[in-house]
Amino acid sequence: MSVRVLNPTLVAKSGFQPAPRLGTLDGKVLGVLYNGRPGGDVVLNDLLTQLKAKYSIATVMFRTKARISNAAPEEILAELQESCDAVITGVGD
Amino acid sequence: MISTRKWASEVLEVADLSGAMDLFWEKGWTDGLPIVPPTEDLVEEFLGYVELEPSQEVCRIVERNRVITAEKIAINAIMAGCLPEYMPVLIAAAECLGAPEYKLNHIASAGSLWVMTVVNGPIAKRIGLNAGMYCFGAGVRANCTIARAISLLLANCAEARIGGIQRGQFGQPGRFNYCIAENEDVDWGPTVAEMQGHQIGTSAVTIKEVGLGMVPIRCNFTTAEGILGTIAGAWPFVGSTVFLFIPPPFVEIFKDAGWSRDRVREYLRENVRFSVAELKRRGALHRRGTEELAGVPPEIEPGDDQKYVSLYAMTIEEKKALEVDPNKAEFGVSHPDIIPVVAGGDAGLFVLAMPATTDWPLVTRPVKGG
Repeated sequence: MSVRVLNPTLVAKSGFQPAPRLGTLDGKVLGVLYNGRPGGDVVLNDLLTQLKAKYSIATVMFRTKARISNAAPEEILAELQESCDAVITGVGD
Repeated sequence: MISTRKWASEVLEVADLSGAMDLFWEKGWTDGLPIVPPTEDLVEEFLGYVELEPSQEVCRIVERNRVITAEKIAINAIMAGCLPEYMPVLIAAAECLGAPEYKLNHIASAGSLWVMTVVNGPIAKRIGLNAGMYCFGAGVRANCTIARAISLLLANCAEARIGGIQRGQFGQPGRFNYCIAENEDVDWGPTVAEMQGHQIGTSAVTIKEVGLGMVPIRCNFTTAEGILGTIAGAWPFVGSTVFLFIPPPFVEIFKDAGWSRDRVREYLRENVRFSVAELKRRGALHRRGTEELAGVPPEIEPGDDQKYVSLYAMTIEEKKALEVDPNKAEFGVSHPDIIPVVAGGDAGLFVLAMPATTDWPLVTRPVKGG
């Protein structure tokens, strides 16, 4: 006699809508949020160098979290959201 | 008998229980150990114990964009080998994991952090959860299977597994047994749950992510000051919230000498200190980006071994003036940062120090019906 068992896994909810893609960074305000992990600034700065070579970025706003483990302060998140056309961030641990 | 229930979870038909165990291994749904196949009958039984519909939402894990239902908790609890009467504890634990103040992503970190679960209140004894000798070891069903159920739930429903989001460099054995009761027989309040604002005598579950490592500190003295002096002098961790598991014989010494938990905490906050030389050797004094660091430790200057930093007690400004790593500079204002928990065997001999993340809070939820 067979046995019926249930799948224990779960997939992510559907329906996530990403922000509209920009097409270019020419003339845009680019935010960069660095989490503070040693070496992360090297990676982000190298990425910025490459992006600046490719695009005429109007302004770069580089912000650093005070503590790696904590979420970025609300003030920084609000500033990036209000002022930037795009934001780059990353997790490297 | 085939259930007529319409489950949200996929139903798989296999030849027998042994086949089900093999299938779960093949699918990567286990933690490496054999599981108890979650049959429909068992899932019904577990849900019936807590009188929850399968679709009942228990928590949302926002970081993974997942909604955890009673059905998924029951399935993973069965797999872990739990009894139905553990479900109230697991429901409360899941509510902690989904709480807004709990930051989940650290459990996937390179540091191999994992969830430490402490249970207070009458439910602990009702389900046989161990607070005494060998509480972190093998052999007690409640301790091991509740910890395992939480681990399986996070692996299967939040991808906290190898091949998912897990990046722990060494892994964390606590995934199998980091669930204990706090010993409340010795009456050295407030308990962990009471410290978190829960009513005396009620049941609650508290979770906190802990790092890889637990350090036994052997205490040979029999006075409160002697024991605490040893603990302060042997403190293993440079700046973090620390669980300090204290066995009943030491608690009795503290009680007899009039030392409350708060007084013990304050003593350790004042007296746990490291020399500047030691902090430099450990790479904990100066924070540098890779461009500056280049793998070279800072120079140890004359006098560095006579200058001391009390990471728990110095103000932020005092630590910043010494250029203590900003990740540790703010330490000293987070609360609680040293968390005494009564647990362990009646022989005493050791306290157990277990590091946790610095200033994310403990998260506590009541056990319904507890």
